Amino acid sequence: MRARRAGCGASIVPSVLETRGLTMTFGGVAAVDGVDFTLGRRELRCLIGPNGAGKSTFFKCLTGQLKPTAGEIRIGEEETTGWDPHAVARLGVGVKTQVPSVMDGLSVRENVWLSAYRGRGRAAARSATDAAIERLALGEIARALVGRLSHGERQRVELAIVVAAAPTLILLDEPAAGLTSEEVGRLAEIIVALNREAAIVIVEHDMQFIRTIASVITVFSQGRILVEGPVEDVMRDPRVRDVYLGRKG
Amino acid sequence: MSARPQLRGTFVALAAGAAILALAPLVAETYTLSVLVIYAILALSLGLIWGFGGILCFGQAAFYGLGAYTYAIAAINIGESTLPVLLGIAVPFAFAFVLGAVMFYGRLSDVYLGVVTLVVTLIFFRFMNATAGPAFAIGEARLGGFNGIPGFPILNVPGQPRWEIYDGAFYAVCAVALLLVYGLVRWLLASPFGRVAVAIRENEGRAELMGYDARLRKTVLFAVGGGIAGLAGVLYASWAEIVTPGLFSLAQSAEIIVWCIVGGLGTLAGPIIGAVVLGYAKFLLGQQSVIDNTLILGAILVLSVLLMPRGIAGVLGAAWGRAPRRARRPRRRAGAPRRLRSLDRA
Ligand SMILES: Nc1ncnc2c1ncn2[C@@H]1O[C@H](COP(=O)(O)OP(=O)(O)O)[C@@H](O)[C@H]1O
Ligand SMILES: [Mg+2]
Repeated sequence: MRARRAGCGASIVPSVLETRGLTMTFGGVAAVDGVDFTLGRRELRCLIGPNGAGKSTFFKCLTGQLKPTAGEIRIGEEETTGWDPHAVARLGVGVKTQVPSVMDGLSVRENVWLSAYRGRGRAAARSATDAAIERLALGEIARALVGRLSHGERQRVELAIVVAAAPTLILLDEPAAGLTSEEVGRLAEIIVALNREAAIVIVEHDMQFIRTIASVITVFSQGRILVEGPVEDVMRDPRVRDVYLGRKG
Repeated sequence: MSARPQLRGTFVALAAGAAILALAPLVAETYTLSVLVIYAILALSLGLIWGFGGILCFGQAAFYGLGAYTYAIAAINIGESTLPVLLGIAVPFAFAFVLGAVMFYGRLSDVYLGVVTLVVTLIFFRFMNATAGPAFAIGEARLGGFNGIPGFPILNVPGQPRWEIYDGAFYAVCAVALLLVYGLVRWLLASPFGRVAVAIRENEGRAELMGYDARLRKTVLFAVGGGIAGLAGVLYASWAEIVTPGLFSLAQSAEIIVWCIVGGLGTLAGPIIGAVVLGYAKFLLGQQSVIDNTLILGAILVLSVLLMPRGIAGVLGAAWGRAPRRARRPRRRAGAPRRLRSLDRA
């Protein structure tokens, strides 16, 4: 891992995340196209945009799952462009992927423990595991194999994995997809609570849900940032309507 | 998962294993039993990295042969067997570490990993076969090409080169080695290192998103498997009193894989049982000449895959009313349809 840049204290860097001209092309097609994105400390930002707009690809560039074709990423004080996922994760970045990514053959508790153990050691991992299981209300199914759980339960397991690592930057890719309205309500509470300790970027489609948690929205379209601003302004923006009604793709 | 029952389970398994190993000489000769125990250690080496690390190595025989050759060459040059034994473990360990690092840091896909390990084994086989001339010697030891290396000192009591270990005593050494390796592997799998290894097998991408360096961990696990296979090779060399390029053959590599499949992957008892059962079957078949051995072993493999998808250990585990821990299950693809339950237990 790279050394910290000298003399670059936290006070000089107000944002936890910044990208400059971030670009990811697949066979000549830019899925992410020159994105400049800045996220403040403790900010809760929503990312919206039609399917294929590049939101998930943007996340994958941030986590190191994809190596961007061009541009720069800074997380905290580190220039993380081109880093491997495990190195990015160690900076305190937690991600819930769009397609749930959990260890199906292991128990709920083992899944959460694995995340809690990293960078903590045994004694502290146990209490962090208990806390995350409690927080996501997984106590009753802690011993169950994750592969046997319902979709909503698996989503919660993945959130518990993220929570257990005590990240300072959390990326959530469509966490409410496929949840019951009751589950979505609980999710909103959890996200707001998490936001007291961490900055969060959340990809979501449900406008009702977005209104309850976020104040600022970034709209992606065709790999670029189309609009960015307070929820109400963005909702009124005709360009956003066009994109969602398919007039511009 | 608390440590206590795990520890008790390990002791029960070790005690049961020790009892079986102690009683076995009542039903078979220690000479035959020794080689079965050696096969069991070899099977355990692949059972560890494949069953728990998800690394399918088609070249486990490379480390086995390397351990055997290293022992033979070192024993000829040194005489006393203690250092040769240690070298016979250390050299395959180091070689597996380097090979593993190249493959895992190079992000080879599973298929290419199989191909590379297979090719490495073939290279050893070819090379050792081509070392007939006097130019191919390491110190006093001539590599001997196709004929291999005969006549090296066998195991001796540490520090006492004249007290050679053979027959019953050698069987005891092999038995203790198997118990030690089994205990070590159980301990390793119960440790955070082992738990993370299983996590990487289950979902490498998620393990990395948790902050684990999968490449490094797979490399270390692969090297441990190489070291254990090397130990099996050392014992085999001392048992056979000759090492030949056949140790590196594809048939040998394939046999180890078959032991693991028939015995039951994802368990530790499985590969051991598979190696002993098939090793003994091969020994019995070797005494007849009616049907070709390979044909029969192939039939056993096909039947066992069809009838016992979890291997012998799976059948035994089910019979005991308790499925083996972390039994092998078909991997579910991400996004595959799964049972939806709207009931929120929150
Ligand atoms: N691995 C990949 N290879 C090729 N094209 C990809 C890959 N991943 C995503 N894409 C393409 O990039 C575009 C953006 O996809 P994605 O980031 O998943 O969008 P969103 O998450 O906003 O729905 C899509 O056109 C998709 O087909
Ligand atoms: Mg997406």
